[in-house]
Amino acid sequence: MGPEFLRVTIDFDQSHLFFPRIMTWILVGLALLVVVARHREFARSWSGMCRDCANAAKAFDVKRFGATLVLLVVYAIAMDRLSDVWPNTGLSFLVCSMAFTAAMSLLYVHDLDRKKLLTIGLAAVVAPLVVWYALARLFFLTLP
Amino acid sequence: MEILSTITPLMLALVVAGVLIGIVFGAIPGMTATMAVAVCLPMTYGLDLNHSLALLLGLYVGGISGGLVPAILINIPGTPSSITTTFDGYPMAQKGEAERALKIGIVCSLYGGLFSAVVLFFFAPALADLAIKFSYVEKFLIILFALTIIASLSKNLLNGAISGALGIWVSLIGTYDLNTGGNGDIRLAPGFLEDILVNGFSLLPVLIGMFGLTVILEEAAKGVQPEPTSHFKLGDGKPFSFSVFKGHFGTINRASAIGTFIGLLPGIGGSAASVLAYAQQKNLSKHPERLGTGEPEGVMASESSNNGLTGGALIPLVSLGIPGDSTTAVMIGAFTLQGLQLGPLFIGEHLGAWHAIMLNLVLANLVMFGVMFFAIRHIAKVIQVPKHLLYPLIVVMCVVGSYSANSGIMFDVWTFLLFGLFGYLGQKVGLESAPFIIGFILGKDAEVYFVKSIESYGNLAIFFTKSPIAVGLWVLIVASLGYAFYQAWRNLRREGAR
Repeated sequence: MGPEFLRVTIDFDQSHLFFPRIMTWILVGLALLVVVARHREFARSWSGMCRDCANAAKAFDVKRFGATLVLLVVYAIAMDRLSDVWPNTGLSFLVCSMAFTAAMSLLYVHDLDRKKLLTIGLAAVVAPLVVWYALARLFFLTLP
Repeated sequence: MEILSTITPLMLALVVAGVLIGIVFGAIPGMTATMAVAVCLPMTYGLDLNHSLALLLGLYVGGISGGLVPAILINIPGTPSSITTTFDGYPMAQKGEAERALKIGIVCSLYGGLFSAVVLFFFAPALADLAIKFSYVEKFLIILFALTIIASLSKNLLNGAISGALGIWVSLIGTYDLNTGGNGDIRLAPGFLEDILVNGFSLLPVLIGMFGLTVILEEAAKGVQPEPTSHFKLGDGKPFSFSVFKGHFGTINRASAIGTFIGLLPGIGGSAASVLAYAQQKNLSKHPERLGTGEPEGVMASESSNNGLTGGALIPLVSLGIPGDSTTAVMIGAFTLQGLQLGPLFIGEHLGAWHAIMLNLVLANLVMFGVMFFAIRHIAKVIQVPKHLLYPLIVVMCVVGSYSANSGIMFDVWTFLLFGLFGYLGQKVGLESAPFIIGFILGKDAEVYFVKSIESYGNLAIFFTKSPIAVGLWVLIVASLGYAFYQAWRNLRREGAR
């Protein structure tokens, strides 16, 4: 059924690669199309890059962005390690979340004063406690 | 009226909670309804489907509606879908009509939401009845059509196409599942990660990362600026009256219909709905020159259309299993958690769940109206919630959601972090989240339908000759691609003219 040149057979042993190969080629093709269609745009942006870089660097908050990434990684690692100390209780999540919430709030806050510090401290204790109690104790969710 | 007996106090409480949380997310610029649903997904782990839907649909409706508050009060759209509300809403506020503008927007949001719920009720079962007759070939073509629509209506055709294709590619990582007729072998995973990636990346951590963490990383890169404040006092100026809608019934109905239709098209966000409705209003208005200067009809068109999107986006979700927008894409996660498969058989096999969707959608719209209309002066304060307190809590909720998605796997937390960063970096090079996620959701199904079609018929011609429906779908695919190329050509000409 259908013209011979459109006939396709799929070897079952290799069938797991059939569709992914097609998608890989489509992706490569689309990427090449982008390069061809926008090479002028790329060249222009490259030549203007030095000028733009200075402006972009000014707008980019390296401290807050970098520290956010570090905090996230430390949060995940600490939670994983502490869950071996307190397995199946969610306490690792609770303790790490309190520290993480406090650290991230302090990182993001502008013009820190005594009132803001108090609010951050309170939120860092209460919010993870409420989440932990509601999800681990009421809904019996598995937490680290 | 039997359906009303299913309403429980818990269901009502969850709808109210969902709407309130959704409004908070919608009202804070940069946060969206999608983020609200993604962050609150872990709360549904301990609930049954009806109660989960109460919370999620409340979040959806609240999240879309909340966007009008900052749009009118500080000229910043809370969600992308309220961008056109700023055009007339903010000028109205400058004239001292802030509360009037807000209430016009709220009434129109209710109308648009209920309009789309009625369309959903009648259209989804009809579409599902048609889709039941689909074989693997037509199912594959439906997905192909969905992906071409996503690409063609993206900000940039090539970026949309690459994002969708990349989403499919990432979804294929892991084992070719034996349960779907695969051979059980692993693919696309480097040797040293094969043990970890044997099941690929889970949907929920990917969703939560791309819609939750990406926004926070963007804000962090911008320095998490303090919240802008409104200097308008609500209650002053011209009071709101329902007589403002006199002569504008056509406007509201047309905008609601546009919103619902745009919602039907997979992957298209609310911003497209409101921009199209606003542009149409400008074409048909008796005083087009006044639009943009504080005309109530501008707010009506914008808000009716973006809430009209909600029911529209649920139509392809329940009848075809294809999400209509990014928020309904996240909702697929909730159905997966309950072990339910969305698609043509869903309504027939899960009538109770279908009724729960309808009931909760209507309830959510009514609650949204009640909360926002009568407490707008308090709701307006939401835009000043400090981000430095909110963002850490969102990350904590995202971590819970990711970790609990597969009953406690730390790899899912790393997936969440990885895709949060990927979403952030991807946006910098033009990658679009919605096409990527929809590609990711539909990728595995696309593979199964494509491979099974070829295994069954052995010839690619079957995709063109299987049935009149297949031919009809090809016409739609070619039309959507034709539209995309026309748009790209027009943009190039415009750029050339400049």
